Amino acid sequence: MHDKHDEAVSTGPVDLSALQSDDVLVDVVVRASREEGAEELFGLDTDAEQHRLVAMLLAWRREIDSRPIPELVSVERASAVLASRPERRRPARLVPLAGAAAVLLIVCFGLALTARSAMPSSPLWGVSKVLYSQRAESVQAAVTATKKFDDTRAALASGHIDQARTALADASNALASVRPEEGRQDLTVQHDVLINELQRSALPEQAAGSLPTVGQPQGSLPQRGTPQPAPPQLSPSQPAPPQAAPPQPAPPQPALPQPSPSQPAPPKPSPPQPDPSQLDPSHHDSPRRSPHHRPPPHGPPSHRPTSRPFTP
Amino acid sequence: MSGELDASVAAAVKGDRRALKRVLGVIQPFVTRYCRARLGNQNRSYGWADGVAREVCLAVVTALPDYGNQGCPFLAFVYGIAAHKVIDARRPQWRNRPHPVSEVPDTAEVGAGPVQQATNRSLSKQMGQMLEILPPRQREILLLRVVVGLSAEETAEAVESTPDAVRIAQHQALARLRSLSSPGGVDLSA
Repeated sequence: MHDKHDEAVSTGPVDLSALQSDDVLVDVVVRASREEGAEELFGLDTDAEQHRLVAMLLAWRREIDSRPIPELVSVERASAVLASRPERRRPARLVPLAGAAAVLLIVCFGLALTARSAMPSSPLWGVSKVLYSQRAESVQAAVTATKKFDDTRAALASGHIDQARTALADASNALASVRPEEGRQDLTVQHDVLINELQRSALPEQAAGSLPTVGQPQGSLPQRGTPQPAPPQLSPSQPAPPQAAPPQPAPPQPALPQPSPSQPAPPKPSPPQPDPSQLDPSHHDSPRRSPHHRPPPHGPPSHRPTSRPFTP
Repeated sequence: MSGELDASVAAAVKGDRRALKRVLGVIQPFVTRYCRARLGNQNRSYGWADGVAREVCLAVVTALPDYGNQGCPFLAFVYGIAAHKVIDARRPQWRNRPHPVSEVPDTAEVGAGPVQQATNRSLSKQMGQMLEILPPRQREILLLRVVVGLSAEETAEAVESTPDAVRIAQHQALARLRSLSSPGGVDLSA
């Protein structure tokens, strides 16, 4: 009990008996308030001050109890309130679970995001292969193509034409499955440059006619009719479309004779020549091609033939 | 008391209506008396205080399923909610708000005759004025002891203190009241 005295520091030392008698006083007031005329409980021995205090406490308590305590909330209402609670509680219990799920989701998402740009050497390559199989294939193909280009260059530098040719053939095989996102354009340019290099290095070694593959490009312009007699060796893997459309052999050929890397792009990736709107303005570079694409070459060539051809 | 009460609360939360009735039987007098003592009457009606008390009861019932996680005695749980609601209710914007309380019938005062009632009111009013002078903690403890009728032990539970500390605070409060109410004390009507 003494350890509590520090609470009473503000009013000096606590008189234990006064403390006890006040506690009794309060208990008596509470008990008295429940019985009518209980003031007599406080005997005549109480002084006026004490009597006044008791009267006040009793009046206070009685005033509060002067109106009956109402039923504020019925049992029915309370149980209805309680019954509606379980639904609200369940989510609360799921909160940690939901948190864990969210964390997992974030990790997965992050992993997926990172894997999206993973390269074959990266630890996430496996994830990438699963999540983005198309991309993974394309990336792999691009990596292979690049490596084969290097091999080709190395072989060319050391004068191994056959090795270079094989490597380049492998490269063009790989190139076929590279998507534009993985730099197909670039790789195609490299490929074309290497083909030309290969042709040039092959020339001094062998007579022009001995190697059809290499000889072909030089005479490409004259022999327009044959759609790629030689390239099958070098570029059998080149984008399927050009070969799948024999009636339009022109595109690959204009490219081959022009070693400038500024133009090589159009020939191979642009196999979808069918679009006349693209070919139409380019008729100047190969006017002979027009009969293939537009059997009825009427009307001014400068006009867009979108609707005109059928007007007559 | 608290052990029994805790068991009743647990049973009430699980749907035991009799337990719920027991719990309400403890909460309602507690909350009603507390709110009446803190908020006073208006035109001799406790409509406002009882309206606030109803809100407290509903809040307690609504929070009942969470009581087990609070880690405090049930009386402290109820008292905490009641004290907060009363503080809210005493804010000016609340005071001026109309509080429809038609559900609480304005019954006749019980017990004493007219003269006694008048005396009670005047004494009670004086008491209310003196209470405002007491330090909040002493006032709350005295209120819980005298008006709500909790024992020193129960009061200690409610205010999360010890029975001895409650007795000391109550003694200090009464000593203050004695000096205030004595003829030489502060004239509150001034």
